[in-house]
Amino acid sequence: MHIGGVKLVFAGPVGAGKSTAIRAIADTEPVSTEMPLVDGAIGDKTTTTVALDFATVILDEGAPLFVYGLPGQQHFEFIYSIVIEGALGVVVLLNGRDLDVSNQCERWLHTIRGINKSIPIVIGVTQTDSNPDFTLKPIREVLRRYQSPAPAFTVDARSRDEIAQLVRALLLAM
Amino acid sequence: MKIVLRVAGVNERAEQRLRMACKLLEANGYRIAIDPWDGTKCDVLVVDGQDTYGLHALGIARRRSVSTIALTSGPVPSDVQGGQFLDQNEPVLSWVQTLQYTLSERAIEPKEPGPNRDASASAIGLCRLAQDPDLKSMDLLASFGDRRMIVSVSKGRVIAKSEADLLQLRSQLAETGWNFSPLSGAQTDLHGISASLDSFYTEGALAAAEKLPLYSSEKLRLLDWPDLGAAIKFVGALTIAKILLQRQADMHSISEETKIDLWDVSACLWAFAASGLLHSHAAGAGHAISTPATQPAKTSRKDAGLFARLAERFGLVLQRN
Repeated sequence: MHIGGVKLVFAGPVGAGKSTAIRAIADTEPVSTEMPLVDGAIGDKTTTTVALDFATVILDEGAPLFVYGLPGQQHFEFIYSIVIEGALGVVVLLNGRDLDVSNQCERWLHTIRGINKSIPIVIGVTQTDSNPDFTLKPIREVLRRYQSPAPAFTVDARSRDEIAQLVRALLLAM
Repeated sequence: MKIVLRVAGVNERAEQRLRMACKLLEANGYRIAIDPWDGTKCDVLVVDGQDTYGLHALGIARRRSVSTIALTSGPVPSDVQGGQFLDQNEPVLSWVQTLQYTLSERAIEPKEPGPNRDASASAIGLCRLAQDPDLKSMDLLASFGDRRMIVSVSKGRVIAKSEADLLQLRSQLAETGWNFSPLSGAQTDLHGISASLDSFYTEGALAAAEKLPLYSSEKLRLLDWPDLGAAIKFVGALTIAKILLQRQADMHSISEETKIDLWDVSACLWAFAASGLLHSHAAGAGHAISTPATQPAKTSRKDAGLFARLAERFGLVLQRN
């Protein structure tokens, strides 16, 4: 599978809000490969992405930025290196309601760094407003252990402005 | 108060001199933002008195009673009689004096400089949070008037009963009259809206930048990125954070490098300090996140163009050269 053009990748576990975030910043209707969850809904989430999310953001003069959302299921890991190759950077979205969010952060850092040691990364943690015990501190500790200068922000995946803020931080990391 | 100064038809050399003069005035407490004239309201308009576009802007500004300074290099054309004029070959000190006179005509006085800073900082809510080590080390119940919020330093969150309370309290961070007390078990029943503490402080500080005293001029460092996910109103905070993560810097050098207003840089520093993320250079040395081992490839012209387009599309203010 050939994927070319200027691209930005959203990665992260199932339920972190990747599809929602891509929809928030896209200028075109995202192509989404959603299927119902086989084990029933998880809260408000009733579907899951079973392949890639894809959308475009239009830069000036009509040039496109291709935005890809990696599927969060581990059995799709084989396509990560294909999608990430040549990307400007990776926005890793994590779910702030996950009890092991710091482990998820470490897993995704490890996976992405295994593909590309120097690609810019930014971490966005969603749904933190509904978890009164959430704190960024363990994620910051993971980033320090990885000697990674990646920004880690709490964001609302539905917010165009806050997802754009993640992209801005990614641009500064380039 | 921030002075809005616009330029029209002014060449690059003259604009450089104008910026130098404004920087010198900044040291005396003036806060001046320079932008191209766009026809909107401003405090002072500086034009090239021998440029057609400049004269056009001058005419409009005069009708609106905006203070004007017309730059000349030779005999003063009749069109620029009235208002201030300045030979653009004059030394920068003359530019400073002309600007200062123009501003005084509009009754614009500089903000009170530093000597009162210590006294006022000890009373302003955000400054107390930034400077008092006890307040920075524990979870607090903070109240202003009849509104309350939990400042959870341990979790980096702020919690209030409602969004309205949160916004109101954020707008009062630069006021005196705050009450802080250690959070007791009985008070943890304050549920409602939870938000990022770093973003709360940053947005609150920037909205009231003029009310805050200037931060100290020492060299500073960040060891972690502040959580600026929701601090979307001023993207310069990202740039300031990036600089402080890469190296020690003081607010003047940051303002100089980024062309971000000194008071906005200072406001960000107050916010980062209140979050407990800001360190003096002595404390921060040796613990910072190192830069990646692999050096980035030399940026090609094509990459620079792409970066500029991405930055524009996503609203990232680029550093001016």
